[in-house]
Amino acid sequence: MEKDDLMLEQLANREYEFGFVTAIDMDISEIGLNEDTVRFISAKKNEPQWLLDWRMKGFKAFQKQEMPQWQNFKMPEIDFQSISYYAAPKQQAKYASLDEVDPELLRTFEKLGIPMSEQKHLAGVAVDVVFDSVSVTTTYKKHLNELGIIFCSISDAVKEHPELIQKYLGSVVPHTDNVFASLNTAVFSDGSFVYIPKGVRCPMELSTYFRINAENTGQFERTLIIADEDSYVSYLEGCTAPMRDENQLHAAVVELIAMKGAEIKYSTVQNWYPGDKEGKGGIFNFVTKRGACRGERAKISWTQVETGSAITWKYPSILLQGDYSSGEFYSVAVTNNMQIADTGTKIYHLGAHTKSRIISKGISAGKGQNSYRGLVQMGPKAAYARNFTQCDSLLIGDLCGAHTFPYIESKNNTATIEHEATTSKIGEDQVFYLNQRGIDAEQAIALIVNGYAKDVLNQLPMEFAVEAQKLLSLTLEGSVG
Amino acid sequence: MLSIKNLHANIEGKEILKGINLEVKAGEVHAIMGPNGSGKSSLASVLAGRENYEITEGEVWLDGKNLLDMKPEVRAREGVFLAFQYPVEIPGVSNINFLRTALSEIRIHRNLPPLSAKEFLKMTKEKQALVEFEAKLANRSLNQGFSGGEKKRNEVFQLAMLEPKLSILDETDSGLDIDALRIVSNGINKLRSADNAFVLITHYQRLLEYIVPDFVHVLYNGQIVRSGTKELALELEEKGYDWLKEEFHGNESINKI
Amino acid sequence: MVNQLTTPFYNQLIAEFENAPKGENTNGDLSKSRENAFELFKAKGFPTSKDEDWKFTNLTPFLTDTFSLTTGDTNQQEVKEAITAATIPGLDAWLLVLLNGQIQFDLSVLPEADQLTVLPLESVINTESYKNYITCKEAESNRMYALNTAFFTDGYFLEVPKNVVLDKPVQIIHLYTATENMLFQPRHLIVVNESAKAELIDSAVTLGNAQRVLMNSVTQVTVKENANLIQYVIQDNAAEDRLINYNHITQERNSRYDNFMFNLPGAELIRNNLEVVLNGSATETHLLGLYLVAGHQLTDNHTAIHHRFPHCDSNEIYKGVLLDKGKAVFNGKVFVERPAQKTNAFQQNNNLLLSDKAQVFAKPQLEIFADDVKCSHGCTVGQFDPESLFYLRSRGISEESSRKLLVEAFMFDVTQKIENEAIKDFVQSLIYKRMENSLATII
Repeated sequence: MEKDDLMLEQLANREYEFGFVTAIDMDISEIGLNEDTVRFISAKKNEPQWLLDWRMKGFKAFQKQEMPQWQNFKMPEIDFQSISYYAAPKQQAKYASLDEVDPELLRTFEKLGIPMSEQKHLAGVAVDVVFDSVSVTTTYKKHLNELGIIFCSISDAVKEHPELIQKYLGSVVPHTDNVFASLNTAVFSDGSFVYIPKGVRCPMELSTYFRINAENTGQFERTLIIADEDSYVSYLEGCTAPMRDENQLHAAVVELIAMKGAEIKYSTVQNWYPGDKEGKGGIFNFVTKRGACRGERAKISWTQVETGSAITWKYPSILLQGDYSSGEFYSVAVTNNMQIADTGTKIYHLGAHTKSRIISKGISAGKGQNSYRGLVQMGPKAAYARNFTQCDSLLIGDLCGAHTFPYIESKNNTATIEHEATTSKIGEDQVFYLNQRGIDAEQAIALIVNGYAKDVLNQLPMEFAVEAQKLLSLTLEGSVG
Repeated sequence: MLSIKNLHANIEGKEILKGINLEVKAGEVHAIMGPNGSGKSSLASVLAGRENYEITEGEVWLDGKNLLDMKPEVRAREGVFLAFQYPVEIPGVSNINFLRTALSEIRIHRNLPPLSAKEFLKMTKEKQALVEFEAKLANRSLNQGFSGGEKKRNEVFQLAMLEPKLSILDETDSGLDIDALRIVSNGINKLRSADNAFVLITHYQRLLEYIVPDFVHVLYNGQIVRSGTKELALELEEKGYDWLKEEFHGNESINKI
Repeated sequence: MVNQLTTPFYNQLIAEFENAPKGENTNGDLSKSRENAFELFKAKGFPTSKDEDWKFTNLTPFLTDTFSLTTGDTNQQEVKEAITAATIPGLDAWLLVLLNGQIQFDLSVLPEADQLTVLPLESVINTESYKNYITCKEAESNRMYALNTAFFTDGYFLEVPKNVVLDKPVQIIHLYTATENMLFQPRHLIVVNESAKAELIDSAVTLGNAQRVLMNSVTQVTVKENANLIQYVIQDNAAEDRLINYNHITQERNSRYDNFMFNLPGAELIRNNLEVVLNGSATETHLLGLYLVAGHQLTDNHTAIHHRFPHCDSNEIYKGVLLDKGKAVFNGKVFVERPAQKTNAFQQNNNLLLSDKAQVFAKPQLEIFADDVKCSHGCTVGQFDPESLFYLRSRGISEESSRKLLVEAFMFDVTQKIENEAIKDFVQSLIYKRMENSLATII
């Protein structure tokens, strides 16, 4: 028992590695939110009228919405008027090559371990970086262009591919969807846009790194990925933020559209600042992610490794519209200290013979609370649809919590749903066994946790699996004496 | 190599080892026998450093180092290997990855250079062959879904890989059929050398037909009440433990008078 | 959506309470809790599908009629026939008959008073000891519970004395007369004292000429230290019945409680809330349910188990077979609070959808705040395994019999736990009888 106590104490003492602040001149909007803020952002980005109109609709919807009430924790009040809704590095973010980028910014990326320079070990990853609100640079653009792949910031896409944006933006997550999605619609600053043409298999992982740097700002990026018929893309996002005493808000929207026969694989390694061990500061990560399998045999797969943020509230969802389309959700969520993660997925089986698979692994340590909240819905036309869900919780220490709230709904008698959930703790006998083979307790826990999360980590592209594994071990670093 | 002096240990306030004395030299094989509940597995656990045991008296030395001061993993790195009576299952942790981690920790502790991936694989193959351990098991999750026999053989495979000085086999023979027992014993015999030592904890004399011990000890009620050579094991097989119990309790009652 | 605060039925209830004579013959605590409960109901009205606990069960269509609160005359011949019909064949049991919530001693067959105390609830509500049962913390915001608290008058009080092991089960038959649309709100109280053991079977029959009945009943149960209670609830009602039940069970140290819930086709609405509070260590709880849903029926089982002390085991298996346009809701909550280390909580919910118009909504839910626990839940929704069906048929069994066999196999996890053979046979025969028509029509 003593060992556990010590383990917990050390676990709680772990520090956030990415908590540095970058000293860069920033262009920041005034604090507060009203119609003028929305106009200000739209004007800053030289947007067309239709986009401003849409933002306004989002803002009106936001004003009418209420905060969600489903959580089993006390939600702190969020003062939407104390946030600045736009922050960008002052230096104009248009670079012909990496040499022109503010060296301070490059050092930041280096600290984050992002493969900015093209000769770095993660060669083969095209990166779009969103720094506070603005997309800073996209590497590999030329090579992708040759294949007809569009990978750019949403702002550029608005200018260069307005027909795609007008057609698809908000088509999966409408501006009225929920309070945070409405807010995002009103004030989204930037984000990534991907279009994969028919029959093209994107030859490299596309990747975005998000970072909140400025104080009192929120980050509201918007990602839109369209995979046209029979195409394939794997997309990765990573995120970090500096340590601040105040809570900062991150309310992103991600929309995925997979046409007939297309496949989108979306992986997230989320490591926003979680706050200190008393729960002071940290990011509120309220993200709306949804994908639509619009055509037959389309496939969308979400993989997420959630280790950061003070509060995470996100349910990457999949609409399985096309017959024989399939969806997957793989998640590892770790909460430590005072962190709260309330995450899961919603899968709507609309078409016949649709398939889905959900693997969720929650790990709670310290006073962390981890909830799986999910929905599997079989619509009346979802003949012979199948779902399998496995959600497991691992508890480290007796002050944390693990919760499961699955909604299982079926309106079709040929559909099959299977749901299993278990809760367990790291066994003292497992730790002792590894000790006896010369492995210290800290490493033993890292091994056990990584083993426990393996089904999910295996879904990540190789380089990121290694990173995620490191991150998990780091989260539980110093866990045993 | 191993020197146990007047070792007393409690578990949950109950005295379970009541003054154990044992000397094990390099190159020797000792068998410890005794009825259920006599303290055999407790002795193994205490030597490996299981934390729910409280040492109330006595000393344990391993090549001049105080074993009782060490954490379990340090004991392992110093060369104490416990083959568990009930090896645990750890889902998702591959056998090979686990062994690699263990071996690299042990090598660091012993100031040995790290093994390259190639060398490690080579060693794995050799040891697998040596102890007749199937390669497909080596790649599975640690003990997960293994049969009882496979788990025991995995213990011996790990023993071969980690090359300990002192191996304690806690009822490794229990639950093995005769073929599996032969394989496990052959493996252990191949691993015997002038530099290492084995302590075999067992219920059954049959193991000792395959691994011939230099000494046999009888543990009863937390103490070694008899020591001898392998003939003692035969005697136990023939007579059971009852006569020993009577003798022991007889002595006790005499002492009380 | 209809605003529940303005329906005629709501207005009727508010008027009934406000115009009723106050504080007559009741103890102060009860009057106060009735007032509080009424205020809650008055402010919030009936639950709507906006409430998480009523998300899939919309009460609105069941509340459009008006219901009388005063009972009419009963035909004695009908009563006798109903009792005979509800009696379980081959079961040697004591009999407790209630008519419109009131105990009918002349129709009942009960053991001696030193074996079992049976009293009208009215006769105990003024006693000091009853105060402990007035409030029910877990139901504080439950509006149907509040409505019952505000209005209840009748019901039974049943107490098994310390160390008494009842020699036979007690079958409780609830008869209700509905010569017009009726609202019944009975309240029952069961106390099983230290080291006592009892087995109770509940069934209900509506008399009269097929008027609508809205039942909003509350049963509070206390199983004291080392005591053991088995409760069977057989809900085999008429199509016009709408049942809403709230059952609250408190278990003390080392006690064991088993609940068997059988929902059969009939009542157009069944909503059961089964709330078990484990108020001591080393308890054992078994919640077993079978719901057979047919016609346009809506059957909703909400269960909650609160683990608050260490070393408690709970085991829950609910199995549903859905036919026709049946709709089933299952919500199983397991709460494991911080002190409840060494908890074993197991929950399983399986649904067999045998019609393309049937629907199921399940929400198994675990909330765990202790680490050294073994908790799991599983939930499935699906069809017969075609392989199994084929296997049986290839052995010469007819398709219909094969289905019957598979349904039987499906329910086996629950039925095998019924130790009393007479009850097991009775329930199984009821299920088959109710299912026969529907099974034959399945493709």
